[in-house]
Amino acid sequence: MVVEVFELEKHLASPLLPKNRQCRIDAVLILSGVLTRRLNRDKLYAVAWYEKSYYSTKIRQGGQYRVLPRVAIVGIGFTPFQTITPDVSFKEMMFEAATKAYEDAGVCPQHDIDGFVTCEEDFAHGRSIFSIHTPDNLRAVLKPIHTIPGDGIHGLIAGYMQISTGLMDIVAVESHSKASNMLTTNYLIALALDPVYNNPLGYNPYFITGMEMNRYLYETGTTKEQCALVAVKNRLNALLNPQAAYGERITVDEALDSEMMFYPLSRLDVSCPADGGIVMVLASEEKAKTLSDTPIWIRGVGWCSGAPSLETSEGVENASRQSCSG
Amino acid sequence: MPVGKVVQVSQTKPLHGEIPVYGQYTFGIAGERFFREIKDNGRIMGTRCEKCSLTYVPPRIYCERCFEGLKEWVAVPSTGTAHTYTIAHFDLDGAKLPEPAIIAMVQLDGVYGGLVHQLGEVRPEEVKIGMSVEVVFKDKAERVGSINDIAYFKPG
Repeated sequence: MVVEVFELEKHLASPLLPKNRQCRIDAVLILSGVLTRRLNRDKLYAVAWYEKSYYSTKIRQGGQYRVLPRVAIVGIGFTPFQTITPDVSFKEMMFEAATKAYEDAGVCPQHDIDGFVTCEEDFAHGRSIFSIHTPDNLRAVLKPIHTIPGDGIHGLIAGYMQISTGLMDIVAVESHSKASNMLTTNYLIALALDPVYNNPLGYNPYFITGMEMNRYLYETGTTKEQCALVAVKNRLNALLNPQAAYGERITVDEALDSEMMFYPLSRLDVSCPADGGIVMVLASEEKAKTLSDTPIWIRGVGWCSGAPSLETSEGVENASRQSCSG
Repeated sequence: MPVGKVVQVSQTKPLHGEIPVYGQYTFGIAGERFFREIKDNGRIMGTRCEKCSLTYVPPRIYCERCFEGLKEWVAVPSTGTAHTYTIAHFDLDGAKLPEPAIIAMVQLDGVYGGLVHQLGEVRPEEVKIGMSVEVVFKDKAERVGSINDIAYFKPG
């Protein structure tokens, strides 16, 4: 169902509505009780329909908004995040996180869950065709499952899409890190660089971070002190999070004086890898209401990727700003 | 959890492994020409998109903006500016470099993109974003058809 938003706007009492279009849509909903008196029958239907889907995602398509079904997180499970996990394999971490998540959601993976999404890079585990290694740890054997070579947030979005298209009602999303098992991490990251133009130079791949940071400071006037404040703040936040691996109290001076790695990037500007696993159970609106009293509704998703070329990164930044806006 | 947890470090013993994966990387139509021009003629060539008024270095046979196929090749200047740079103190193994390396993203004059390479004949404290630089090729006899046929960029 598509609603002609601009048609609706024409009928609205514009002084009451904020300029931002997204806010306008919300305002339509809030004011709909008043507005229904002003609109003709078609528009009434549209407003009434918006009212029903108050929190639904609105995707803008050529001046129109398409409203998608709601999707919620109804269960979550995770292992503690640690610097090393010599006791458990990644499969055991997945098993622990999945067990906790299914318990939290109150679902039986075998009977209730329609599909599974896992997130991992093959090389990070010294394996290939990683999707082979994921079904058994999630109770997903002989069930629809696919593995995304990306961050957990990509998996969350994939699960969201599977439910919002109506293909599935309940989807489990899994992501984990066993970074401590990777002994030559720099070489692994370097393989992400262009093999012809960049990698033969033989640099430690963190040089990219150093170059990006330098340009960022140059363009924005941000100072090293301000960056140090971020390092201090992030570690303090971690201190308040019982699950975080690297919580500590450091001073701005400590951050500034830490060893220079890739100018202007200092040791304490760099975040450290942690081991851990997370499983989330997503559900459609109907299922979510039966499974949870406090579902976490996903209001919307959006993402984009840049070009792989370091050399045109400036253009890429512009492109990503456009595609991410709104 | 219904499984016994490991409580002694001595009980853990990882198996060490390595991945002996060998392969080759195809330069492609654009890369083949680009590196051949450096090796044989000591010049940097790019591809041109007239529609978008962009010259690509590294060259590619398609425009990332309009997605047209690109066939026009143009020689580009050997001079440019340091768009950004870093001073690397560590190598791939994580060991401290004996001498820090200055790595820059060089935007060649009039092109979209540029080349990542080392800066030479300059001290780290002298490097500035926006400084003019010029390519220095290796001697022709030493050139093999690689990005390392460029020795470094020097202040120009």
